[in-house]
Amino acid sequence: MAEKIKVTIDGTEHEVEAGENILQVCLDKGMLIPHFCYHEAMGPLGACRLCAANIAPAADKPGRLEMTCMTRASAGMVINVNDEYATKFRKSVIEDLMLNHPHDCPVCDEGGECMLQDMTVITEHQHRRTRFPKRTWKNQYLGPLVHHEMNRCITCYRCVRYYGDYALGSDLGAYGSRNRVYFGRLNDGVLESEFSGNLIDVCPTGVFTNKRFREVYTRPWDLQTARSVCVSCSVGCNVLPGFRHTDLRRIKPAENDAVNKYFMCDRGRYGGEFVNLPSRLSDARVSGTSMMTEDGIDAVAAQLKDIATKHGAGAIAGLGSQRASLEANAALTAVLKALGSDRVACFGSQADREAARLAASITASRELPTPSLPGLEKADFVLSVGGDLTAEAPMLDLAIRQAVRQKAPLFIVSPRAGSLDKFATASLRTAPGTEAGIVKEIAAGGGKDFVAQVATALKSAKSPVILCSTLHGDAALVGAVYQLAKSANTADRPCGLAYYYKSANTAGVALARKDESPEAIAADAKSGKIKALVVLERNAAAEPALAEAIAQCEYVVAIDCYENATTNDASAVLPCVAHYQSFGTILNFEGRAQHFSGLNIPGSATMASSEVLLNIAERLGASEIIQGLDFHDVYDITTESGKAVDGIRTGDSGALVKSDSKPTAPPSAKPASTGMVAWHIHHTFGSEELSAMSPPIAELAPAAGLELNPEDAKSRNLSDGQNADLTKEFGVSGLLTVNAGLAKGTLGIRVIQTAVSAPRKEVTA
Amino acid sequence: MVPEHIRKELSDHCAHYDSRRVGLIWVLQQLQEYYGGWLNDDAVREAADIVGVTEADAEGVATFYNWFFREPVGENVIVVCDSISCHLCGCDKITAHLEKRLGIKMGETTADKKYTLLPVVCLGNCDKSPCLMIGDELYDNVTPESLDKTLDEISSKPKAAAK
Ligand code: SF4
Ligand code: SF4
Ligand code: FES
Ligand code: FES
Repeated sequence: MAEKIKVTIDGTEHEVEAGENILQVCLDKGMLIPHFCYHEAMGPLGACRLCAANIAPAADKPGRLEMTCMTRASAGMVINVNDEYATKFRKSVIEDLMLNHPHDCPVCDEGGECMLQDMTVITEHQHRRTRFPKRTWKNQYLGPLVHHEMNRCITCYRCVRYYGDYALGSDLGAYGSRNRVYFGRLNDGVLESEFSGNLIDVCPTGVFTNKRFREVYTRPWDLQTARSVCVSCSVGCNVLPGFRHTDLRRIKPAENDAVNKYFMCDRGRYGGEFVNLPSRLSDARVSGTSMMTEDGIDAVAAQLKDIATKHGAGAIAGLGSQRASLEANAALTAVLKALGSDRVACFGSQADREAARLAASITASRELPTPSLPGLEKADFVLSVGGDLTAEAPMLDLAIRQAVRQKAPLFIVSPRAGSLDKFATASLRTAPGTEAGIVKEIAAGGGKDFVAQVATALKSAKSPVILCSTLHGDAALVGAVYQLAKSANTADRPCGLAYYYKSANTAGVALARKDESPEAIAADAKSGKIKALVVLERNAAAEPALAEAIAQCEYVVAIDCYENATTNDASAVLPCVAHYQSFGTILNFEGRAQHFSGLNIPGSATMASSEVLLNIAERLGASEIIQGLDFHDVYDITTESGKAVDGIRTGDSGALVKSDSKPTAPPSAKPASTGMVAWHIHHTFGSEELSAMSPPIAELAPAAGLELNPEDAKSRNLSDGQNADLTKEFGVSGLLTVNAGLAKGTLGIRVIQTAVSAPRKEVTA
Repeated sequence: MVPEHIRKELSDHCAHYDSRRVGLIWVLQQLQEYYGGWLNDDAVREAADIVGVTEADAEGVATFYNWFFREPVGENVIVVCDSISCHLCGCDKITAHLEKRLGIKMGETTADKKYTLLPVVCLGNCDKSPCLMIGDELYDNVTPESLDKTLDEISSKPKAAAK
């Protein structure tokens, strides 16, 4: 803790920490000193000259004009923001910045939430005295996400400092000097960073704006917004989805110091438009007949009751959802309970199930510290195992980049090079299934080359973290990573351990007390033992383990927000609102329970899936079950703080859940296969089910296809770009990419969800 | 592309600094000289590659400094300061005189490729305003007359001109 000192700001004494940034001090205390170039995430620069105040080192010393963002607090300092000369100076800075700035706020996309507008009003610059023509620029095409309008630039340098210095992107620069500085790419082209959308928020003016949002004219104040949590991966960034009329118009990050602070990734920001698809469900459909949701619920409840009476309780099972809330999954168990059944499967395969459940139970045991995003930024050693962070948990990647900027060594063990690999101290490409062995070698100490390098760096680190993917269904790896972290964890040198998952609430359903393997349920459905399946927010018909079962099962109820293979086939479809209109609690990778709330938007369903299910349970006469429905009965969780999981409110920092049961022993690793291994590549854009349907994400998604290492391609006489028929060897064929960044001995299959191409609905403001 | 031994020399130079990017300016200078007084797109790309910075960074530096040229320039580059002190002391008159004498506008090069005329921000020589530079030479308290004399001299001994 830094020493506490006293400073005087505009006549009032304040206690601050010695060396604190004066501008930040003032902002924290609610005094809005005009500023542009300063941003808390990027720190001070002193470029815009707007944050000036009269600062004296002591009350009896003369003060002079200084930039508050470049001044550190010292004892006795006297800061006069309202000093007459400083006030005049700030006004003149705005006048200068406005020399070349267009005077057309009414047609500018930033209008209404523009920092330049705000600062101009605060400094009371109202009158334009210049008469010469304004400097103009050419704009660039930057891809489907970000729109560029250079004439609005005020040369604050925030964009390049965010994009290059903070996010370590390489294709945005500042060119030229004096009053002719251009911010953009070298040439027109799609911005390369997976975090490019944050330019929109860091740029204080309308140079970088949201291309999707500006397509349909909307002012920010016309939006209806309820704070939510991103549904596109397991990081759980807090977001502000904005709706207008019937559609989601944009998603912005919502500040949450415990999670994503200021930023979010492009998949999350632009992945919400699945909400607008014409394929969203608004009516119930029973045996092909459209009806009101209430009537649908009646019909479904009657039918389920009928089946239970006829075939016994065991004839009904539920398929839980990793993208639905804890509440919805709990309500599913309530419905089943009302029918006398307790059979639920939340995962797509036994392997995925084992990996996720083991990881979640390790996390929830709280035996080892789980780093939050801000915690990851401060790590001085990072080992990432088993997956591609950028693709599978994007904001974890951005946090790791901050650690890398502080010179933390980064080691990656994975089958395929991703965006983060260019910053790695060393990377090891190895086939899926072999990573656990490498992790064990690291834990054992000794070894050579990569293993020795990692082990040595880990030993000397003060705040190491290890990250591990659970998306590839490798429970042995989950277990091996746990052992490594445990052996590295001591009282005075804690070792952080974080697992990340496939979907927004995978970590939540992984802690369900009752959950069985989907293979078991599929087998019973195929054999006719199970007669009815209740499918919650899940396209189970597209999952290999369940597709047949869904097709063969007598009675399938699908509850979802959009039309998909499962709803298409289902005997009954009950619509629910999409995530950003829904409410509930989900658990992120840390096991942080976060609540989100939603808005009722015309043109879509009216109930959250949890409400649909509770309504069914009610019709089944299970009000006692509903009343007694306790999170603690359904999930193996309490919270660290003792706060009730269902007492968490939207927008607070949530609560880390805790479970009393010890992690189950990891299965022993399968013997490493000697042949080629086929596995699924997840891509940042296009692999996650919901966001893949969003048009801008679909535009950025690569084509589905296969990948081979050059050697493996050569030995099969295959070349890049050709249609490779590997049916004999792997049962697949497709467009081949030869990728030197892919581990030898593996066939990568790019999972790209087929986007439902649908034109954006024309809506007038 | 510069020959391998020059490339190596440039790259080795960058290794002297804690951060290789510190060597960028020097590398750009060497490449500008090698390529005949200006940097084309390939040269900037080459510099980025040698130093190990992004192309955007190299372009940023190459376009920031006054003495890096991204277009061909004449044998003698004249930069006229137009910042505050020189503005107060009449740099506009100097510019007008130069434009008239050379028959070109600010930012242009004479047809015989002898002179290029460019504006520059403060040369740090405010106490001797107005001032300008021709090549590496700084000229203080310039008047149309003193300027004529200087240019006459340069024109009379073409080979000895500042580079
Ligand atoms: S583009 Fe925006 S962020 Fe970048 S310098 Fe200009 S005003 Fe600042
Ligand atoms: S990192 Fe994950 S939670 Fe955060 S914005 Fe991206 S997809 Fe959403
Ligand atoms: S905020 Fe201090 S100079 Fe820009
Ligand atoms: S203003 Fe011309 S040298 Fe300073």
